[in-house]
Amino acid sequence: MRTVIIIDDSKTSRNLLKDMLVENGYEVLAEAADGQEGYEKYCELRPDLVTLDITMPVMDGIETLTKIKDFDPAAKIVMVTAAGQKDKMMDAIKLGAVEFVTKPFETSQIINIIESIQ
Amino acid sequence: MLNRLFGNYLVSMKKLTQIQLDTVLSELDGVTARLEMITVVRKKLTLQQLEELDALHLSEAEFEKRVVGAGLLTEDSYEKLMTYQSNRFIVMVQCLVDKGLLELSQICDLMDEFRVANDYTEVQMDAFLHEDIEQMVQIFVPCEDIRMKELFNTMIQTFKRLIDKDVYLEQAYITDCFAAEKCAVQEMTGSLHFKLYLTAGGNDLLAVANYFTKAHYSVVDEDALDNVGEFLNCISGLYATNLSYNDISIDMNIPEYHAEPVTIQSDKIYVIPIRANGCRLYAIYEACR
Repeated sequence: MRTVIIIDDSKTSRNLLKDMLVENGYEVLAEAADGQEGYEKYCELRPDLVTLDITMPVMDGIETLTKIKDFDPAAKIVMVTAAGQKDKMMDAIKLGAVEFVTKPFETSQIINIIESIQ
Repeated sequence: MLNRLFGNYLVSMKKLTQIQLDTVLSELDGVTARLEMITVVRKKLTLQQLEELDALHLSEAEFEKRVVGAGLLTEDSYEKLMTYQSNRFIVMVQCLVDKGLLELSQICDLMDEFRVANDYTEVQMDAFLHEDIEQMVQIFVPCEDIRMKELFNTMIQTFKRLIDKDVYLEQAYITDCFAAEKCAVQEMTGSLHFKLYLTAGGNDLLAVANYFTKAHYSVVDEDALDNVGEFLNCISGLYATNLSYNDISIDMNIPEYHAEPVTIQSDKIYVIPIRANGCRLYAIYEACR
């Protein structure tokens, strides 16, 4: 079973993602409400995959992505964010994010993207 | 939008009960309109012509052959009319007739009365029938600013897509002060600087919170407000994407919420009453300096 951590300041988004992932056979190891907490969980749990929001308090998604990739260059990170943040998503891809998903999203969209990541 | 507006009119005229209206509207998904309904609502056949055809007890296929063969419709207009099969208003009219709640002739008369009572033009009625969001929003939220219009259009489209297919508006107004009981708000900065709020009295924000992610909240607590904030984030994101096509860039701040009453004060606040899922909500646009 592939393992995931979800980093998103919105509880609504975390719950939505968690339900989608669990229903499709993923194990959600942890959730984090900001980038700093998410980075610490990543270092501790080393999941197969991370879903990472861009706009967050304390440490935003771009900074969190950079820190996680510094710690583990092989980390597989999917950026999950509202539409309309094209520049930031492009920055994230340049920094090593493997994919991005825009809200509002549907289960099939998320799962197709995640399953395409080796 | 027309379904609720006309449906409410029927209820106010005691032609339907609220329960009958809600039941009909809940049964429209997946239903397609028959050609006979389309031709009459689109005024391509008169009721008298329809009655004459009905007297022949034709099947649907025979009816189609007959109206084209008899020259009542051309092939082109037939093809065009068939695109209305999934039109939600015509489907509602058909359901009202099929359920025996109203006769088609009554509905046609009531549509005319509804138009006159609300002072809608034929063009506006056509915009309603075609679910032309841009035109419909302009009726209820008259504003000249093109960017604001785009925001309101995106907001209503997002409501239709994610919250309630039959969402409708009441007349918007401008004020300098609005007391919000509970609200979610998102501030946009960059080329445009404004705040967009969603607020409602009592537990009416559940009309968003319980439909956006299919969650089940019984009261508007912090989790429900977070949900409303995420919905605002979707509206803002789609709006920001549209703006980017015109090389306009805005930054979306993190959505916030207030579980306690707040007073919104500014020189010019647009208040847009929205009716969705049986509740009244207010979208509030506050320009920031």
